[in-house]
Amino acid sequence: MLTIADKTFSSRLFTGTGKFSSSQIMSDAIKASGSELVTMALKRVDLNNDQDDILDPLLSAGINLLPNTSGARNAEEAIYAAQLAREALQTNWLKLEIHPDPKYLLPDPIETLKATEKLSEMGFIVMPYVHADPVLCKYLEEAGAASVMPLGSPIGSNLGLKTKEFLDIIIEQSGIPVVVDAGIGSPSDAAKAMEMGADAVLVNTAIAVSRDPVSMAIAFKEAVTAGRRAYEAGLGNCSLQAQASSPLTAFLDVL
Amino acid sequence: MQIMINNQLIEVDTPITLQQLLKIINQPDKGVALAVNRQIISRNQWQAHTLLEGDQITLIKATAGG
Repeated sequence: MLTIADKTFSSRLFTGTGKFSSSQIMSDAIKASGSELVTMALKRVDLNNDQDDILDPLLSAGINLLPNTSGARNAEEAIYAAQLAREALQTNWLKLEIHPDPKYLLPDPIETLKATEKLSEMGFIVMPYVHADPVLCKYLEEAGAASVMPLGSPIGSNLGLKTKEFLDIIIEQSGIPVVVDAGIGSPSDAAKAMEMGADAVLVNTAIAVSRDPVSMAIAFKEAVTAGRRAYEAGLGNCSLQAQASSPLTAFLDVL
Repeated sequence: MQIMINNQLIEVDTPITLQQLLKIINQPDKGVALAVNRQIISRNQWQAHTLLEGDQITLIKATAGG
């Protein structure tokens, strides 16, 4: 079982709610994924046209909500967004994301660290989205983060674990759960992250934009379970040289 | 009097509280958060908080996101 702050999770697959073609498909896919924690964003209510209620189906399925601060460009904006999120969703859980650059959406490490310190003091359960920077992840842990969410590759890119070696270091050093977030494009990427010892993965785009999001959600669920099981079972060592697994053909010598 | 909600100017009768405003603009009070002049007003104060001429109100809700 995975524990983050005061909650335990039987699923190590966290999902997002963005980019689905309808809220029905979103809700079906999330239920199929078995995910118990899903991210949400905030927006200003459009007074003239606003009917997309995605909250009720998730809440009625008993899924925990993880509001994000997407759109915040610095610590101050993120703290303001966090407080609005806490009010709106009545949760102190928060995916802290501060990305000033819309092209690559890479997280700002300095503002993220500042905001993590402040928000932890304010009682938030902070899960910061960061680059796969092992030094930064330790600073965030000291600053009170409940977990770290290092990226595999840019958000929505489906490029997979481009940061693999750095994720390995983060996982080795971290005293808090490591949730690999962003860029996970296929179930094999998710399985790989889990085999490496990540505590969980967060997947959104790869499920949402699939031709069949419900099936893809199941594929991710199975991949995460398989990867975790392999990690717990203990993977064998790698070597360039062959290591015989059969007793070769020594018996032929006697012929 | 006139107030702004999410950058949209609207005319309301006075006096009016935040709770009443939500009803007038036909918005649910669940799943939303309110700020007046960038000051977040918590849910339990909506009934007591009276709006003033020119107040800038931010009304936000959860939406899909990763």
